[in-house]
Amino acid sequence: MDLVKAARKGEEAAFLQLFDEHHVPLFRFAYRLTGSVADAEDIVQECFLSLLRPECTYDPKRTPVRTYLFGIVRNQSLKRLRKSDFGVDATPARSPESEILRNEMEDTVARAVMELPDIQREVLVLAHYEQMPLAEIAQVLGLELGAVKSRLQRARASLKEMLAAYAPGLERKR
Amino acid sequence: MNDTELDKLLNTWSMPPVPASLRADVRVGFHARPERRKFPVVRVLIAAVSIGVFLLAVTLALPQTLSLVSPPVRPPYIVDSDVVRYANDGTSSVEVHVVSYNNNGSEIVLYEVAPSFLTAIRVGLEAAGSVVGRLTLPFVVSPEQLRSLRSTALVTAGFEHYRLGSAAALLNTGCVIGTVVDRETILAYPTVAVRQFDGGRRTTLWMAPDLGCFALRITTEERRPDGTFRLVRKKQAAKVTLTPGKTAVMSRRKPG
Repeated sequence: MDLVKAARKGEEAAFLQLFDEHHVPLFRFAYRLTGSVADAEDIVQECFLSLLRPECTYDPKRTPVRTYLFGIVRNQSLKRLRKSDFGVDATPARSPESEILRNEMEDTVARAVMELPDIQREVLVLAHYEQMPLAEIAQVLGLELGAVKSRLQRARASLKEMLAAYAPGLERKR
Repeated sequence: MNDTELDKLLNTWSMPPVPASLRADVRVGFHARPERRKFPVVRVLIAAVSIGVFLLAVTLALPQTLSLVSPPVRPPYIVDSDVVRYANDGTSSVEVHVVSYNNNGSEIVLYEVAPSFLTAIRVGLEAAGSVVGRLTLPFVVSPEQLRSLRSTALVTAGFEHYRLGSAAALLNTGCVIGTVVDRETILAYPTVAVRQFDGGRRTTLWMAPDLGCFALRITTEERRPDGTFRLVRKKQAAKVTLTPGKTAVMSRRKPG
């Protein structure tokens, strides 16, 4: 039986199975769009609960549940971003000193990704971090495949520019 | 910087762990969700109020609209009838109570009383549709078709309507418009029972010539696979009330 249908009928086990199967990538996606653990947590929670609401328009015949859930997370994240200025949560400190340099680079990468325009960042996060096929990204974002490809190219070009100082080749030239 | 170098850099952005509280919070949300209602209360209320207002408007408009499309008629009599439906298991229930009379061979329903809410809505919608039909009919059919429709004899049994051909022919033949299968006196009025077949159904009408061929009883039966018939609906007159100062409209049976 369809898990969403069963969850809507009140079967907790089905609902939790749905949650367990999808919540990690959804949390990652929300976090990388908003830069906030608290926001990502709220968004993922809201995403799953919205499936249970009578007004939910999810139709399993038209969209796989994973695609639908990513779409909800994306919309919720953009809504929150419009309301407040984003900033990346402080990365949990790694105790060994040898990690200091790595932390600095990680923060720089995170900030570079967060500085991308929303429409480029969401494509980059889905393509690079979630390894989602471009066709599915187009479905999640409601875009043509060509638009997805061009946004991804622009995002990567911008990142190469922003992170040029960290490129191994450039470091060697210094 | 090439693509591989960029990918390596991007991969340095690690993820914080998913908060352990998330699963528990979602679970709490699952149990706290509002119960799904089969019929959302607000929508049903809005629909009920809308229908009520609409029916009130139709009721208020009815006397005026009728007088617009036809001259005012004072019925010579009215008949109270019950329409009963019979289920497959043999049980029966009153579908609607009808108060009507016959005008030139066609039954005119003055009002219907429904015992259940759903039937009441259906009665209201049918009444509204009838008014709309009366008002729009002259604009959607040709004058010849309109004359033909108005000269057709019509009887009704709740939500079923039967056309009996030319009203003039019905009245002129003393209600004999088919094979006579019975003659019976109902509520002190002699009736002629004629039968009509329509597909797997047969309808028998006990019409009273003294009441302008008003059908004091109508039965509708469905053919079973073994060829016998099962009663599915019956309209039965319970009372005939003559209007003081008026005489019942008799059918004009041809002499001989």
